[in-house]
Amino acid sequence: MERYEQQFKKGVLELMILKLISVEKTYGYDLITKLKRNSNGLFCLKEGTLYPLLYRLEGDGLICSTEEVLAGSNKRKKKYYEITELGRETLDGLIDYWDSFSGHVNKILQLGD
Amino acid sequence: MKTEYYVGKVMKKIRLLPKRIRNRIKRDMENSITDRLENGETLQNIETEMGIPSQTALDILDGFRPEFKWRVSLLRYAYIFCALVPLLYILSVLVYVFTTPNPGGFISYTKFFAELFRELSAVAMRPTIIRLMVNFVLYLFICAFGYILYSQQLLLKRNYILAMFCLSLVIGITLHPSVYGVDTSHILYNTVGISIFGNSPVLWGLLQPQFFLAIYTAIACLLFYIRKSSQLTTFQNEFPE
Repeated sequence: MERYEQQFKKGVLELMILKLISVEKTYGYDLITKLKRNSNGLFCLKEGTLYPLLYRLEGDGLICSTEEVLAGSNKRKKKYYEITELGRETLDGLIDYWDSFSGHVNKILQLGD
Repeated sequence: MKTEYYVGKVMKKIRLLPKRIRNRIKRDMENSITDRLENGETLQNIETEMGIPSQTALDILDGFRPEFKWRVSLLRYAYIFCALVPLLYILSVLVYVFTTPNPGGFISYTKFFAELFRELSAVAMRPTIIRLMVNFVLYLFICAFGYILYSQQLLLKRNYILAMFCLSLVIGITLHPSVYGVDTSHILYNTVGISIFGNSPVLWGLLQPQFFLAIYTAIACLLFYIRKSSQLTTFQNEFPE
């Protein structure tokens, strides 16, 4: 059962991360907490899973990163991610696809009820 | 657990990823831990939330797998097939040599080993059996290279692949009958009673399974090396520091 759940989660991770980044400029840890909070703990993403995913989205040109020096914290640099124009278009396309996808899946699941 | 300790442990496990990526992961991870600490989490809690270092490293490697995963399934099966042929061949020749009266002057392998350990000069006098044993050991090395190559391609450093290429090539040359490989022509000729090699034993030697496997492995190593080099270059260009 858990294996199938993991597969579901993996499949929608990019979409959700992209959506969260599209809402506002954000950083790694913030993404993890937002994801956890907004999913009532269903998506407990770990750093080890998040980084490769972020790098891949960046590599595909869907998001871009900027480093900002934080005031009052030993000049610590923090990496912020924001969505690109291409990312926004891709996100819209993915959301449309998700609507259609989930609709069809639900339709099949209701067969015989 | 200290931040440096955790990050250091993870970095050690992912040391075979490109340096630029590792540096970036290191910075991101340090930032994340600092964020968590600033958010009131304790170090112990952080390890629970982030996972133990080895698991984090595995997750990272798993996440990068699509970039490095090559379509090797078919090649892998082809390799297993090519590796089994010389095994059957070498084993059958070993059985033949050990059971056929007098192929190298011995009646049985029991006597062979008895004489081998009693008198060192027996080694020089019985080249076929010694050759077979050396061939078998070299064959095992080649199989080990093949296994490492096809199962650990993500973790392998390019230099290791290059070293395996060189060793496979050397072993391949050694396994040719003109050098130190089993002389198939004589054994088969004695067994079957016909010559299928014509007048070109050198060419026939190229088709011998254990030699073929070694050369196959060498070529595969070279292709993996070239591919990994180009892939890393592309990957690093995509993710500049």
